[in-house]
Amino acid sequence: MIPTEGKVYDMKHLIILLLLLAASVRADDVVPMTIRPASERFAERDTQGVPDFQRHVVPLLGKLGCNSAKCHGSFQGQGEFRLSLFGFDFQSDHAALQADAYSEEGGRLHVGDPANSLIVLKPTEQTDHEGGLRFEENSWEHHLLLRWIESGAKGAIDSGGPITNHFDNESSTFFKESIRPILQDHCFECHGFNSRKGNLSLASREALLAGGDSGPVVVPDKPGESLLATAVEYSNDELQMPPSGKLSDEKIAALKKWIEMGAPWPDGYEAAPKAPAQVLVGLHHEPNEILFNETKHKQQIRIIAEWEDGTREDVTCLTRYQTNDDAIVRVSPNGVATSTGTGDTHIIAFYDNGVSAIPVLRSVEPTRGNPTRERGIKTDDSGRDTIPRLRVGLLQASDHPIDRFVSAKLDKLGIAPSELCTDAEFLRRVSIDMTGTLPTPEEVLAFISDRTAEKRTRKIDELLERPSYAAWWTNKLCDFTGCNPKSISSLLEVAREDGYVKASQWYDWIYERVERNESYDSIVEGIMLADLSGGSSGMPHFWTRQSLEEPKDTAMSVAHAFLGIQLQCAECHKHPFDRWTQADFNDFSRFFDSVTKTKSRSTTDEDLDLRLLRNGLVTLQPGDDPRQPIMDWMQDPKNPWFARAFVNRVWAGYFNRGIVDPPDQFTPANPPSHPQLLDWLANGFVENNYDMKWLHRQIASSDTYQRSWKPNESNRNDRRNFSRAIPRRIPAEVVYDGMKQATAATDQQDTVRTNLRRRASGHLSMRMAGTHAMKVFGKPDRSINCDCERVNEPTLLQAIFTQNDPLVRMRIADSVWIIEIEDAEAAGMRIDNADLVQKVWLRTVGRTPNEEEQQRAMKHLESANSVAQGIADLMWAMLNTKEFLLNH
Amino acid sequence: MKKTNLLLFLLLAVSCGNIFAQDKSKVDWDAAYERLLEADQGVRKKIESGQATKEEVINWLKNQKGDSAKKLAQKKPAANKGKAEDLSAFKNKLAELVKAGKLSREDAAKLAATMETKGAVKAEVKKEDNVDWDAAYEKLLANPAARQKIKSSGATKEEVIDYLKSQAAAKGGTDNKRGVGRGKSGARPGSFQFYSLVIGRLKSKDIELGELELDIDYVISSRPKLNADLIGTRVKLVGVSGKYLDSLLPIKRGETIKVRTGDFNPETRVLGFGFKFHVLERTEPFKPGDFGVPPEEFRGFSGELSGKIVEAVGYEVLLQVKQSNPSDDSQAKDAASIVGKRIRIAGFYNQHSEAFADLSEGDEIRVSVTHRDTKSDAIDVTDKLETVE
Repeated sequence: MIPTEGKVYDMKHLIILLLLLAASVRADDVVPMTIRPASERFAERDTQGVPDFQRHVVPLLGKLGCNSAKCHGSFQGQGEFRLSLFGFDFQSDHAALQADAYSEEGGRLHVGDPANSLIVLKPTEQTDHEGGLRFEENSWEHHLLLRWIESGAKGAIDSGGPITNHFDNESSTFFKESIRPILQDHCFECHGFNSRKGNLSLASREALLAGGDSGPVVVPDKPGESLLATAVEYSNDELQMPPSGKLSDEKIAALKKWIEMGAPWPDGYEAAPKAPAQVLVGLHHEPNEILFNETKHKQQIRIIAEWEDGTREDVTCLTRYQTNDDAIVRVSPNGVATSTGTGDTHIIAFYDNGVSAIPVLRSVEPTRGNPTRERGIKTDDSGRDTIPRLRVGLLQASDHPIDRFVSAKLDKLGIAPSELCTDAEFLRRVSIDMTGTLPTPEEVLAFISDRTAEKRTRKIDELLERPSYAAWWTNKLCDFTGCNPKSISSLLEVAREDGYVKASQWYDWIYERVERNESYDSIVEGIMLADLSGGSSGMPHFWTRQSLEEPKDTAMSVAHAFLGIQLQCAECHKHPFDRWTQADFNDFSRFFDSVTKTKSRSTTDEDLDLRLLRNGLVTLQPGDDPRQPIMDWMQDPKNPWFARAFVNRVWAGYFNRGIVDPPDQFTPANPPSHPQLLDWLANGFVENNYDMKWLHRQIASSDTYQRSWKPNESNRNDRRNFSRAIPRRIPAEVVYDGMKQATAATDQQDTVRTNLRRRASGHLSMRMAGTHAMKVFGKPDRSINCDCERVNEPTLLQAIFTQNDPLVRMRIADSVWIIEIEDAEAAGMRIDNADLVQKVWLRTVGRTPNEEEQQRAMKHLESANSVAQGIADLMWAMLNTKEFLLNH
Repeated sequence: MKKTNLLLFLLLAVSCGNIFAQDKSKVDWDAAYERLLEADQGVRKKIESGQATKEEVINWLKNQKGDSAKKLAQKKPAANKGKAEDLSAFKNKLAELVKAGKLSREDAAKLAATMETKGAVKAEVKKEDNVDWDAAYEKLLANPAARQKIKSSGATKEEVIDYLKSQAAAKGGTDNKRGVGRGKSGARPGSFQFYSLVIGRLKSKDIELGELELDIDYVISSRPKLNADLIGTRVKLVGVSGKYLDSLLPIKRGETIKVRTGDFNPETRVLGFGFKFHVLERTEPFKPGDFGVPPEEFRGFSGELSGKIVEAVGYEVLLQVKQSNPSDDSQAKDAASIVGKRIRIAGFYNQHSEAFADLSEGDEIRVSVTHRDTKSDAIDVTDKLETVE
C-alpha cells in the first residue's frame, strides 16, 4: 500500500495509473534506447550481432590507426593495401578490402573462413605485420571483425538508388576483365572516385557519358566520334591520354571494342563516391564538462552517436581521442581523461564524420575557484546566453559585458585578474592596437595629466576617428584577403609595377570604406560580387590574382578570408579535424570554376546543383553568378562563421590571441575558449549592422583589455583566459613606423603619423613587403591562406637588426630631431638635458623615465662628446629595449 | 627578302592592318597576343621569364595555319590601340629607321599619320559611348532575383537596356566611372618597354617610395639612339621595391650604381626599374671597357669568341675575351681588337637558358656571336655555347 495525499491506493490501481500515463506519452517523446558499446556486444565470440561497415568497421580501423597517413591511409598505401585517409570514403575502402590482392599469406577477406582473413591475421600478428600488434586475439576488436566477415563483409549502405544498367553477361564480363583494370590503372587517379580533372569523371557510366570540359568522351557504338579513343590513340597532339605514356595496342583495341559494344558498364562497378545513407546527426559526450580538482584524478568519457534514423549507440570504444593540451589533461585510447595540471582545455573525440569537444577544467586554487557553478552563464527563455552575474568578492565587478563573460570563467578557474594598467600603458597599447601608431610625447603628457574619469573612453573614440585607424585595419583586411602585388599580376620574385598599382587600388578601396565606417558585410560584398571587368564599384583584384590558378585555390582563399576556416586538407582526404569531405571541397570549388578559369567572367555556363559547405543545396543556371548565393549565405545572421571569424580576428588583434585560436581555424576540434563571449560579440556585431567601430569600442573599453601585463600569483601561467595583458612584439610595420616617428623632427610628428604614402601600415605596406626589415619582424607576404603568415615571435635577428641594421643607423644619423639639437648646441643655445632625456623616453616607450633612469641618462649625457651625440646614444639604446619592441 | 624590307613589311603589317594580305586585315595582333597570354600560362611564363619576346610570339601567331590563332585574334578588339605610348614607341622606331636609311622621311610621316588617325577615331568612338550595354544586360541577368523580375514583367532586352541607360543617366554616369582595375595594366602610363642596363652616379634616393635620381654614365640596350640620348643626363628611376630597397639603402650619394630598367617614359624621362632581371647594385666608377663596350674596329663582328666569364646575370654574359675567330661574313675591321678586353653578350634565353643557368663567374666558355646592329653596343649569342674545360 502506498499512501498519497491522505488517500490509499492498492497496487492494482497503481498499475492502471502507470499504464494510463504510459499511453499518453507520444512515440516522439520516447528517448530511444542507447545501444550498448561494441566492446560489450562483441566481447564474446559467439555473439549474433552483425557489425556495420560504416558504424563499426571503418571507425575501428581508424581507431587502430590503420587509415592514418603513416599506414594504409598514405597515398601509396602499405603492402599494396590502401585505405582512404581518415576514412569516410566507404566505397573505396570496401573495394580495397574486397580486392583480390594477395600477399604470400593469402587474401584479405575470406567470408567462409574469417579467421584466415589477412585483416585479422595481420593486426593480431598471427602473421608478419609491419604495423605491429593492433589488438589481441579473442579481443572484442577481433570478434567484431570476424563477425563482420562471416556475416558477408558488406559495405556501407549508400544513399543513391540502384543504377539500372542492363547489359548482357558477355559485355559485363568484358568490362570487368578488360576495361575496368585499364581505367583503374591509368585513369582513376585523375578521373575516378573524388578526382575529376578537367571536370571529367570516369567513375560511372553516367559520368563518362556526361563528359568533361572537352565534352562527352564516349559516344556509345562510335569509337570514331569518341574523344576517349582519340586520346588513347595519341592521334591528336592536343589530346593524349594517359599523359604518362601511350597504352599498349591491345589495351587501345579493347577500349575501342568496348565503345563499339555500346560502352557496357554493369551495376556495382561505380567508382564514384556516394554519400552514405547513414547520417550521423550528433555526437554527444558525457559528462558535459570535466572538472578536476587534483592531479591524476581520472574521468571516463562516454560518447554517444546519434544517427538520422533515431538510433543511438555508445561508441566510446570506437572513438578516437586527443587532448588539446597535455599539460592540463591526458586521455587514453579508451576515453579515460587524467588530470595533469591546472587550467582549461578540451578533449576532442572523433567518430565517423562527427567531432565533439569536451571541456576540461581544473581550478588554479580549488578552494578559491567555483568549479561547481554552472559557468555563471544563464540562458533566457529564447535559449540565448545572458550575461553572467559574478560572485561578489573574488573579482572586481565590471558592468561591461565582455568583463562579465571573461570574469565568469576566471571565477570558475580560481584566477584573479591583474589590476588595470597605467594610463601611459593604456595609451601606448591602444594606440598601437587600434591605429598601429605610437602616441606623441605631447599626447602622452596630456593624457596622463587629464584627471577626468572618462578619458580612456574618450581616447578610444578619438583614435577611431583618426586616419591611422583606417590605415591600420585596412592593412589587416589586406592581410586577410591576400592583397599581394606579386600575386596580383605576376608570380615573379619581384612584383611588376602594375602589381603595385593594383595592390594600391585594393588598399585604397578598402581604406575609403573603413574610413567612412562602411559595414563589414558591405565591404566583403564589394569584393565578393565585384564585376571582374572593373565596371562596378567593387574590388575585382581579389578574383583576378594570378596565384589563384585553379578553382580550388579560390575556394580556399574565400573560405580563409571571410569564414576563417581552412579547407585545404579536404582537397585530398577527409579533413582530420573537421567534418569536411572531399565531396564538400569539390562542390565548394566548383562555385569558382568560371571566375578562376576566365578571370574575366563570374557567371556559370551550365546547370549545377552544388552543396554549400553542408549549408544547403544551391541550384545554379547558366548565367547565374555563383558568388551571389555564397554572399547571401554569408550575410545570413545565422551563418556560423562569417561574423564570428571577423569578430575573432579583431579580438586577436587586441589580445594577440583569438577566442578561437589560431583565429583562422574554426573547427569543432579547436573550440573557443569563451564560446558565450564569442556568440555575444558576433550577435552584437550583426545586430549593429556589422559596425566595425562598435566592435573596436566594445573590446577596447573593457577592463579585460585594459588589464596590466603584470601577473599575480594566480594568473602567472594563464595565457588563454585574458586575465592579464600578454606582452607581445609590436608588428613589423609598427616597428618601422615607430622608429621613424621616434627620430622625426618635432614639427614632423603629425606628418609621419598621417602620410599614408610613407607609412609601412599604409601604401608602403605593399612596396616594403619582402624587405629585410619586414621579413625580420614577420610581416606577411600575403601569399598563403594562413593568419600564421604574420609572425610575432621575437628572434635573435631582430636584436641584431635593432642594434646594427643600416636602416636603424640611418634613422638615428639622419634624425632631424637630433640635428636640431646639434644645431642648437652649435649656436650656443641653452639646452635642457633633463627635458631631452624625458623626450627620448616619451618618443620611444610612451612614458616619462623614472628617477633612476633619468639619473643614468643624465650621467651619460655629461660624459658624451656632445649633447646631440649623447641623445643619439640614448635613442639607440631605447630602440633596443624590450619595452620599445613590446606592446604591453 | 632583305632584312630591311622584312622589318619594314612587319611594321606596315602591324600598323596598317588593312594593307596586310588576306583576311589578316581584320586581325589585331596586339589583342591576339594579350588573349594568348590570358589563355596560355605557358606562354605567359615564357614572356615573364624573358624566354620569348612579344614580337616573337606575334610572329609565331601569324605563322599559325589553324583557325585558333585567328579566333584568338578576332575575339575582341584591341584594348590598347591608339594609345599614346604605342604611338610614341612607333614614332621612335620610324625615326630610327629613317636615320638608318631604311625608310624615307615621307613614308615615315605617312605611317605616323595613319597611326594617329586610327587612334583619334578610336578615341572619338570611345568617348561617345564607353558602356557595353549588352554586357550590362548580361550582368543583370546573372542576378537570379533580377532575372526573375525581368521574366515576370515580360520586358524585352531593349527595354531593359533603355531602363539601365535611364538609371545611369539619372546617376550622372555609370558605375564604370567609379570602377577600379580598368585599362590594360594601369602601370606607369606613357612608358614603353625599355630593357637596359644603366650605369650612373646616385644623386638622390627615396628608400620608401623606391625612387632614385642618377647621372647616367652609360646605357646598354638594343636602342642605341635612346642610349645616346640618356647618357650624360640626370634621370629619375622609379619602381624599386622589396629586397631591392635593401640594396638601395646602403648606397651613398655619388657612388656608381648599376641598375636594370624595364621601361622608359619619353615625356617625363623617367625610367622604370626592371622587374625581370633584378639588378640594382653598387659598382665601380664607369670605364667603357669594364662594361663591355666594344671597340669601334670590332663592330660588325660575327664568329666565335672564347674567354672567361666576369659576370653572368639577366641572360647576359660579360666576357673577358681570350680568343676571337671571325666567320667569313664578319664585318669587323679588326676582329682581334677585342682580345684582352671585355664584351657584353646578350640573348642567353630559349635554347641557351638551361646552359646559362649553370654558368658562373670564372667559367671559360666558347660562344658564337653576331653584332647585328653596329651602332648598338649589344652583341648577341647565336647557336653555339660550350664550356671550355
